[in-house]
Amino acid sequence: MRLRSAKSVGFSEPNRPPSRGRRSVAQARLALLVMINIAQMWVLAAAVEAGLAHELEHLVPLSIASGLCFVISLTIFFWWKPVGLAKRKINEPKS
Amino acid sequence: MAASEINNCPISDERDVRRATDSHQAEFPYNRDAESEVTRREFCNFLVLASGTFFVGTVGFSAVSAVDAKKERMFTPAAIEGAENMAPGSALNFAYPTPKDTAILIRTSSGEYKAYGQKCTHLSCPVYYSKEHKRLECPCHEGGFSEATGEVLFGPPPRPLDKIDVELRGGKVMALNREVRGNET
Repeated sequence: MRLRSAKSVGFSEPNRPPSRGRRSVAQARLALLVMINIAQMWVLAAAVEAGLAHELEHLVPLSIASGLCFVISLTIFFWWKPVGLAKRKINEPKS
Repeated sequence: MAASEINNCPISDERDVRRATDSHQAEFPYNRDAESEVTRREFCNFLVLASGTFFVGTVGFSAVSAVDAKKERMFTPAAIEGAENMAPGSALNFAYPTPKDTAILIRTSSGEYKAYGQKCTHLSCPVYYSKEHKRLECPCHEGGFSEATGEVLFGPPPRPLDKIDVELRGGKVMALNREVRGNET
């Protein structure tokens, strides 16, 4: 691996490593998934409290919210792919 | 890791950790190589799986709660063993109507019998009778319930304790009915 000092790594085209954008997208996906998981834990805790309190009218909206979070997770997982990874074939040479 | 590789390691802190020279590193060995065993893809998979599990858990818990709340229950009168020997200002644990439905019977200082479900309505911790304060208390999150009515006095519980109707019949204390009360107040 060729190491470069921080100064030489700019945003101009010749200096940018090819994986730079893809890595950012992958990390953004991870961050989003983690945040969704935290939100779902919150929703689950609220559902437990509502169930024990017999506040049944809150259970349906909470279930829908959790389902929505799950759908968003699936969307991120299956469709939010870095462009390079999604389009490049195995034998295709790297740009 | 080879010596040349260690020397070429770009971050000095990383190199020190790998060598594990400090005393705390020797006492709490931490295998840095194992860290790379979980890939980003695997972690993503795990997060999506966790998301699905949370969803199923929320829906499952909601469904069970809703079904339980709407189920009609039949009650048969049952004698509470040992209740007749209770001294005023004491409490006795029992189960009614099934062994899973724990309850607490109180004999107040005036000699009256009162019975309530023993599960706190906040997060189901068992409540106990505090003789000196004349109330039922939940030790988990400091909830308090009235000895006379089972209503919430303070703390996080959102609704009163389940009420169990009791009656003295032929010298025996009988449990007749268990009522789940909402937060109508």
